[in-house]
Amino acid sequence: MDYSLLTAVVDLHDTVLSELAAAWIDAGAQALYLTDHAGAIIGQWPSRHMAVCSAASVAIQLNGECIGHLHLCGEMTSALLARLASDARWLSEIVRMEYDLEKMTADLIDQQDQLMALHQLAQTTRVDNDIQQNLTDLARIASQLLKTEDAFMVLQTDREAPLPVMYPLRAWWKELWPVLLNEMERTPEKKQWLLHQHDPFLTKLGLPIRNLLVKKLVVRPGIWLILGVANKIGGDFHAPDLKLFSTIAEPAGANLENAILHREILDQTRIQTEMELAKQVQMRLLPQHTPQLLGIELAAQSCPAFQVGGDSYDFIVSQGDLLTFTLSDVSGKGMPAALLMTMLRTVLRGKAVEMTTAAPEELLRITNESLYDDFSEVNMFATVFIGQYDYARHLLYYANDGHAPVIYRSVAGPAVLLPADAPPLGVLPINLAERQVLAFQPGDLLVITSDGFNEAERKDEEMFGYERLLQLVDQFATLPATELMKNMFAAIQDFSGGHPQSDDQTLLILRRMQFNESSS
Amino acid sequence: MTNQMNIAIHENVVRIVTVAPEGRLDAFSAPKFREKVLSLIADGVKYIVLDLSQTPFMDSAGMAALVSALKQCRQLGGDVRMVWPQADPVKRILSLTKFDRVFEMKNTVEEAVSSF
Repeated sequence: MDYSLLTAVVDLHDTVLSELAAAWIDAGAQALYLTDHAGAIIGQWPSRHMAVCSAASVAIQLNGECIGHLHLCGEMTSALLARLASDARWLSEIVRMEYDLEKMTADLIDQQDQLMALHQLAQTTRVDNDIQQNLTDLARIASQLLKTEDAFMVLQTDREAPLPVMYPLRAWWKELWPVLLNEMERTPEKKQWLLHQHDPFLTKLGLPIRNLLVKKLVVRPGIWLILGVANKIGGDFHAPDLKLFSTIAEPAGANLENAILHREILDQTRIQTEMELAKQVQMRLLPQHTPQLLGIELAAQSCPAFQVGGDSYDFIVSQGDLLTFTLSDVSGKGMPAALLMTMLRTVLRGKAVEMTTAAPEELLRITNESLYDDFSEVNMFATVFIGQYDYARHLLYYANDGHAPVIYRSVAGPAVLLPADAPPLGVLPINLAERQVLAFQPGDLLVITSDGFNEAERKDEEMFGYERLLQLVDQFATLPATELMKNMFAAIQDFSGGHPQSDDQTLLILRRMQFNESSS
Repeated sequence: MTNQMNIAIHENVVRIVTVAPEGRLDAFSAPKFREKVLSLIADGVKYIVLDLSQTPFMDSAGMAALVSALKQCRQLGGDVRMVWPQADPVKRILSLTKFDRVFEMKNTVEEAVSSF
């Protein structure tokens, strides 16, 4: 109970009380005076009246409790006593109104404090700050608003190491936060800790902490924020502090989540930009033009499932009427496959440009020797088909390290699968590939795809498979190579029916033109 | 002269472990499969039977996991046998890509185990 209220009322309403006393004196009373709850005189009329000769006194109450008395000196009758009791009730009412007014003012100030806290939080925690800076700002504001010597924040995630921040930084902080985190892990159901002086936990800690208020909140699933304030200036934490602490905690969590999201979006954008650049580099590594050679048609295209992929094809025209073409598929997907694909392309191309006579098996042997250790190191391999087409004699020399499907269709059909003659490159330290030869007749066709074609899936997980691929080649075998290629990609897309492409899809077609066709 | 004879007896027990993936061995399941096989190898196993009889599908990532197991075992002086898959697509991919020349292929687990 606030006993000073009655004194305040005497000060505030002195004139009215003087008039009230004057009326009593006019009616024959000697004096009127007021005492507080302890009996000390806090007002008397007339002021010079010194004698305390209370003829009657009536209690002044606030919320059912006696906070002082109104005394009257002089002759007393029952009518006068009733009047005195009425005046005491009137005074009690004045005190109650004063009490309500003070309480409303306190509430308003309290709310204003909270609004100020929110405003300061909004001003200080900016999404473009780094997370550590935001945490430090939050700790600083918490310390200022709650009037504490110390404040701290720990950002805890289920993936990364905790990020602990203290304002101002104390030497004992590194001792405190691991213990706090441990304690919180031990009692996950507890969301708030209020520890007063001499609390056994604080005593056991042995750190210069008199009192401690800590709260743990979920920023979002898998991310928690632990906020704490310690060493309340001038005393202990009370109910308004807890209220203000909660007011700070909730928006702090929300602001932090925004800052984390901002950082994630930035990271993602950076990765996407880098991937986009990587994609452009990789696309530039593919032949920009298909060689135009007399009597044959070529077409090729690669569609990675992600921005970059492990599929590649190449054309190298060298002296001796020799066209070397390769199609390779590095196991796995995305960036790791793309990096190995680049190495593979460089080695293959470097050797192929020097060749003037067909020896695809030799090309594979040398490449395997160069890259076997690297491929083994990262547990990957590559299927590689190398064709060397002598376009003067229309002979196709090829060697195949584990690549499928390779489809050959003689002009009379039907399309057949040509098996590989050795396992993929990088699987065995020696290369078992052998040179194969096919005499190409007018209208003969070679179609090489990566396994992204035969393994293309539709929604019910049924795969396109080899049989459909062979039928497709038979169906469009007489079309120009570029038309055949378009039809094959379209067929795969139709089959998948919107099911996302899960593997790189690469296609290379070589077709010997009929005599009545002209080379365009 | 004495008739006493020392008989030295050594028993050699070769530990052979059969690993049988029962679902698709693809880019999603291959890392877990590889991790499992590597933990066996770390545990001292160097003879492994890869039983693919119940594997309905395998892609290049799955094959890379099998090759990794093979290389590790051979590096330790051990080896790997593979039991032919029953699913035609898996059989076909092993033949077309010549993986049946990398692994010693067997028809049954018993045959594979007794071949070490």
